[in-house]
Amino acid sequence: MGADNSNGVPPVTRRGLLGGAMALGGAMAAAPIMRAHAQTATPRKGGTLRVNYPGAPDSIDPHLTLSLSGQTLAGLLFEGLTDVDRQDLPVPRLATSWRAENGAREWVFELRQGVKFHHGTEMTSRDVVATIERSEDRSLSLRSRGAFGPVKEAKAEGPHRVRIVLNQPCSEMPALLANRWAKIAPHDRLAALPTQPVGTGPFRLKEFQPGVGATLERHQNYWMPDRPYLDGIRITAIAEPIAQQSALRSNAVDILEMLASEAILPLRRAPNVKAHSVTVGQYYAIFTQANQAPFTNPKVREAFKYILNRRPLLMTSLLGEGSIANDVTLPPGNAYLPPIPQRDQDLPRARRLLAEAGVSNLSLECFCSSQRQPSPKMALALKEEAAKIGVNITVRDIPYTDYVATVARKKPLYISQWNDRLTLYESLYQIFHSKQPFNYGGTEVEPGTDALLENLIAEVDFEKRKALAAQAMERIHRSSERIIPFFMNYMCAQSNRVQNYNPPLHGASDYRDVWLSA
Amino acid sequence: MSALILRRVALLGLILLAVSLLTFAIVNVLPGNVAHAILGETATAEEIRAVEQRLGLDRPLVERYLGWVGAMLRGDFGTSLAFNQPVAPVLLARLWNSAILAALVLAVAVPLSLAVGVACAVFQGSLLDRALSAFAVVAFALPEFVIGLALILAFSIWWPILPGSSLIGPGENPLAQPEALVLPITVLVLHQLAHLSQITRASMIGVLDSNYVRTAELKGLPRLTVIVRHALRNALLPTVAEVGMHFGYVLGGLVVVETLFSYAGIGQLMVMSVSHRDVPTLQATVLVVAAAYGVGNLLADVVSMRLNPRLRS
Repeated sequence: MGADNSNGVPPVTRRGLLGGAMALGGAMAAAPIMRAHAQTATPRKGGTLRVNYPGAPDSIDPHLTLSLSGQTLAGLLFEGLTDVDRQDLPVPRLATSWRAENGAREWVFELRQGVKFHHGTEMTSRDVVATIERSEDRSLSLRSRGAFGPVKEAKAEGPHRVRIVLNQPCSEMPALLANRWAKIAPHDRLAALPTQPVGTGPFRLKEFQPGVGATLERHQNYWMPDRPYLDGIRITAIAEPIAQQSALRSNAVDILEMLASEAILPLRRAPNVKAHSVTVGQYYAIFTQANQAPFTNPKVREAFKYILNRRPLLMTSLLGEGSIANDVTLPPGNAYLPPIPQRDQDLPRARRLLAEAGVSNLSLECFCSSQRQPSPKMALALKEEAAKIGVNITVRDIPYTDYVATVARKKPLYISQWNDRLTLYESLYQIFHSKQPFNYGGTEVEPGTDALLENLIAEVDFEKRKALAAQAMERIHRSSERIIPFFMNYMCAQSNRVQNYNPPLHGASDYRDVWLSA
Repeated sequence: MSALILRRVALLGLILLAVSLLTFAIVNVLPGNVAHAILGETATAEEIRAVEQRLGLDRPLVERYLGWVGAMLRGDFGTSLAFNQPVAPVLLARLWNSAILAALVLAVAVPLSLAVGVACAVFQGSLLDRALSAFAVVAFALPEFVIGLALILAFSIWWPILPGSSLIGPGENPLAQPEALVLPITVLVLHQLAHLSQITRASMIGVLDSNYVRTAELKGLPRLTVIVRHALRNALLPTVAEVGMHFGYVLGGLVVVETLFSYAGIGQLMVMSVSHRDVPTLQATVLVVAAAYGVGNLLADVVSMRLNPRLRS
């Protein structure tokens, strides 16, 4: 899935296949950081890269930010213990090597030496332990809680070794720690993180303007020699697609991140511009919340999965910039994706399932938000198709904050946005296990699914894990509370001046290797 | 006259108090608070409660409001709940940006509207009058974002001579890139022009028809002198009142234009603080805009009194 594709059919690669397999297996030697794309010219140093997101960073605290622009900012200022490469293989970042002990119940990470924070002190195990403790502190309610895995305890073993003890075995820790929230901060600056972010990242914060953007400058003591190439980065926020286009064409910005489908079409034809549309794991789920009537009955949940006609919906909602999904959370091309037949619209079957459940004359409200496009289009499509089997749906388009406060986790039927998740721990276990935070209905998908998911994340053998994942996903496909009609491509565009830029596969962009030609 | 002004200033104080109370009440009636906005939908009820406690949102409404009023009276604008930063510097920087935009808009729109309005009135019924009036009606009827999008499409995509967004760098003066201000100013001027010129035209037609103007013309005064010195002075009264109102509007009502052109002004800040349920920022922003309306009206009244002696008593 590293390659661009615009027809919705991604090429199958090693991505995901090896991600889990190589995560385990005793000691792992430090591997040099490899990049997927070879450089054709000598990188030129200097210059400021101007990047636009549709919304400004919502926070400069790496453990709190929800917006993609904020997560990108966090990824430039801070670093995690690991990274994943374009094939989703875990590669060293602040940790140089790692090993599992006690059946993946404990993980030992060797830290990179000589890494300096922006304020000059050296990064040690003390910082890693303090960061994990802050992130897990319940009284702080940080978004990053759980980002370091099912942590029981983090212990320093000397200045450059950390042992993470888990509550349960987790075989995917190295890839998991590459997630967007697991960023390491200095122990003496943790309290000041919300206003003065200090990390080890390739850039340091020069200025942050709430609602406007941020300016970053090069971190002079960055541990990678010759990186970053850029002198600085400016993150701006233009929301209007037509104004975004004009900014790129008139050379007011260099990269447009997070484009909408209607914005990328004209940019494909624009001179001196390269447009990207890549398959990633972001999707909108139609929630049929399992602890709310009428969806407490699994047959009603299953019936609703047969209502939508997915291909036309993909065309109308995303102008085709995505791929059809099959009600499971893994995107096409993922190595764990089992060969479950693609679900299509089947209204007689939906009607029959509803009858079997003893439900008739259904009348429901479906909540969506115009601030989360294209959720209203999906709600309207659901309304139209559901009417054909006598289910009456009223579409309620409300402001996003209202939605957060009154709809999510509380109403039976609504549309919710989900970002790409790297590991099975995040994309299956945390989302479908009934005791995990993102199972909104708090209900087991089908009897026995919880145990299956627990075995799955503890399993260290790739083939066995794949078989367990297939079993879990069959149940999820049939009975879970999430209807997932399509995955949305990640779309962005760059000026030809920008070199060595690859669209992000997991949300946040990394501009460490980017340089600007003259 | 100064007693009158003093009375109006005192009244303005009361109005601002009422506005702050109303804003506070409305934001707290809306579903969701800043904890929901910060944490997003994936947060559990327990996590939301912890943030509410940390930010003091669990305290009674009256206590929170009185605390805010007390701080305001001491000159403390509070701390943004969403960004954990003091409100005052952010607000001041954006007020400055909006004020520059507003001043430029008024500087172009007012003289232009007067000229157009007078021309239409003097040549009432002519082709010029009908064309300008028709144009004004269309410009006023079109929403600002439609005019804005059309201008961006025309002048920064099809014929790319102007930037389609007005990004201001950190600490940068908006005047550092004057070309970035052309499109937002044009949108606002078109809108103002439509309104102000028609008001000027209507009152000018009334005045031109009055006996004293006819007397002045019969006295043999040059036509231009009659129009500028005798007619315009009286015809200006409604226009001046309207400009006073517009002063508040161009400062605080730029929500659409500032959002469309990504201009870091006070209107954009207001939109952001509503969607973040950031009460301290919103309260301060709304107060500043309300004060701008109040001061604008006050200035308009003072100018009206100078123009018309009958109002002074």
